[in-house]
Amino acid sequence: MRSMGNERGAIPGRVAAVLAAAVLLVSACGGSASSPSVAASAPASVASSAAASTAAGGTLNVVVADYTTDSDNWWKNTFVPAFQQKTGITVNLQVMSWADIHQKVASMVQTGQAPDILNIDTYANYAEQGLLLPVSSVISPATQADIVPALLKSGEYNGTGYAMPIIASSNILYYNTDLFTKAGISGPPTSWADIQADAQKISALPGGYIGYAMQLGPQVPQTEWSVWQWAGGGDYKTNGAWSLNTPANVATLSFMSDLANKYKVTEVNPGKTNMVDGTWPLFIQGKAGMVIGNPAVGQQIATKATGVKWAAVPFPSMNAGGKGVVLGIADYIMAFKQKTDNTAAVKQFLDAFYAQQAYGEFAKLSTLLPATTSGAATMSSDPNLKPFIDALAQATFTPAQDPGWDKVLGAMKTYMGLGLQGTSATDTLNQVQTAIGN
Amino acid sequence: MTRFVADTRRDTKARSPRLSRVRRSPEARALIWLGPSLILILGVVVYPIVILVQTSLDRINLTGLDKGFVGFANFQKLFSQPDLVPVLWNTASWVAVSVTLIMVLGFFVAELLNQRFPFRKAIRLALLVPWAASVLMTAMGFRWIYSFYYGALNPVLQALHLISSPVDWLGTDATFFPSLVIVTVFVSVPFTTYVLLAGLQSIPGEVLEAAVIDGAGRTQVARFVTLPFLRPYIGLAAVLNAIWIFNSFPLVYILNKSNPGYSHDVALTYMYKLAFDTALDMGEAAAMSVVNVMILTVFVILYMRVLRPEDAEAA
Repeated sequence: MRSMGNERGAIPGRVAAVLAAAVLLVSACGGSASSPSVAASAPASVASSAAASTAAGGTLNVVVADYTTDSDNWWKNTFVPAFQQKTGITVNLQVMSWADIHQKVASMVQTGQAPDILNIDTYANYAEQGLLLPVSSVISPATQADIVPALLKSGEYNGTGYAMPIIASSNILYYNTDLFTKAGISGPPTSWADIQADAQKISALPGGYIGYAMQLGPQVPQTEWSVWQWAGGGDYKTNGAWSLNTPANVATLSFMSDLANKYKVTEVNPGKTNMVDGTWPLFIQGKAGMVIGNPAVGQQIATKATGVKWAAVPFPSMNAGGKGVVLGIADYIMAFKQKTDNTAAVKQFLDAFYAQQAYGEFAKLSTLLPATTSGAATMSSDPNLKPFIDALAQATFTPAQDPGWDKVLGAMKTYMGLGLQGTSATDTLNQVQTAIGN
Repeated sequence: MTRFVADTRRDTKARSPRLSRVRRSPEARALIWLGPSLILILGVVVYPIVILVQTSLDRINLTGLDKGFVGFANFQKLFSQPDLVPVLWNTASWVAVSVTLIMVLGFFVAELLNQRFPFRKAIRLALLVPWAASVLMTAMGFRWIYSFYYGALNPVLQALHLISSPVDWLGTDATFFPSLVIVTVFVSVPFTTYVLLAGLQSIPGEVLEAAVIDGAGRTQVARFVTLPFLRPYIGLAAVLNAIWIFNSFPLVYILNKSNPGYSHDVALTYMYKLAFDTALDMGEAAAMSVVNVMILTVFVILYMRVLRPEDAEAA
């Protein structure tokens, strides 16, 4: 009984100690909370050394997405060790695959364990919840000025930037120049009539070629659909409301369905085909004449040495003479507000990341396109990247800044593919529209 | 319980004064021994169920933040989904058809392996492979086997003149379900075979001999001697298979991953999509999960009935 009594006494004592420590911690951070504004106006070197001293032994939880094995290794073996050594800040780095990053991050946020820094493709929900720190407080003005303006703007929510583009990409139309020559086609398609005619000519070649590799499967239907939709004059939103089932979109989806079901110039079941393990391999192996893709397709053709000769152009608008369509995609990096102020350490981390040399290495290894002006200038020398970097200037972005986008994406994943599999375009798009409304 | 406590009391009484102090609270003493497993059960079984039920009664927003109690709204939303009934029907027919095929095939393979023939041991061991391999890997392997453009199945069937042109096995509505059942059976037959083989080996040789001496033919022996002896094993294997198949998420998830809509989904993949993929509604997914737990509870009750010795004897 006596020992029990002792224990009872010990526990409140320990709780009190923890509470006291917590109070100290909070007050300490409260004290440093005023310093970032000072640091922001001070020269970068002074700011970082000041931050290093306040954050010495500090910890950053960083979650980044898996782009390539090389970029994963760059985070783990190059950037983070160097950063830790330089600043004394401990970085807990987690590299997450796209297959489960959303799920894992959702449960981290749900349990109040949001990382300090997150690299992912959506940010709007977090911005809406007020969970993110504004861009202006987490990177220096010089870094901010180096980011391509159009890309930086795509990270805004209600006029305030909350997410920085970490990497960009553009999706345009690849075509197999050998197959085009073989089919007697002189140049890239400049209208949808051209796409249909060219695809028919390629499908008619001996050897069982696929004219146009199309995908609206449940993995990334938005890549194919965005390009077609904009080229057909439609858009995700009209006057601020989701407008998936407009007459223009119905006509677009009907045309796509005709390519698949009436003219049969696509691969089998395009509504049930995904991109990375579906349409891309078909093009990379030279079985398909056309495909929508980003620079990764060209990269894979080179590394796998499949010998496919290709060129890439912005996707043609419906009628000849219109402006070509480019789907820009940006992934973002963002900083979560924490109970204890972490902006000084976050700022050090992000400025170090966007520094020309480090960022250039990362962008190259990610096999995607750089989001900074300095990065774009150096990487345009690569002929395989040039069409995509050039296209970025005229890119249109999906409404990723809209908090409802995840819901739209979910609805598209569920229903869009059915529109190529026998469900009418009207019914399909109405279903998508209804699912968004839920 | 009381008897156990009384016994320990008597044991400890004579031994040490320190332990005798514990005698004053026998429940506490029992708790020391039960404690670890109780904590385990509370932490791993009870706690998740409480959280699950709580989640199913809350509204969780897209970010994953809990927006508070909403009563049965998630269940109402779930039950009004036109996809729910087809999904449950898919699940029921998938489990029923697979289990039936597995039991029949398992019985024949077990009979075969119960015969004496050369390399019997090696073949028995080889049978373990599909069962021991990760279900995820098996499913991905079959995804390629079934593939329209790269798969191994189409060329083989075409060479045998069984089909005239390639078939998109996982993309065609009519062939998806049979393709799924085949993979399910493939991974489940080994376990079933082993259970039934154990059953076959438990049949006393004299009984079989007596039946043969009495003039019973092969089918008669199987019908009147083997099957009655096997009944408890069949019941056990069937219920365990049903639970296992119901829970084998990776099979359906992988094989179905390029199909839009929910028309080929089963209870678990539907729940997953509601939570993480399409609807992104954690509350509704939790409601679906509660439904899944209830279905599994029925299986578990069946399992416990099968395990009860009296019932096994009566059967």
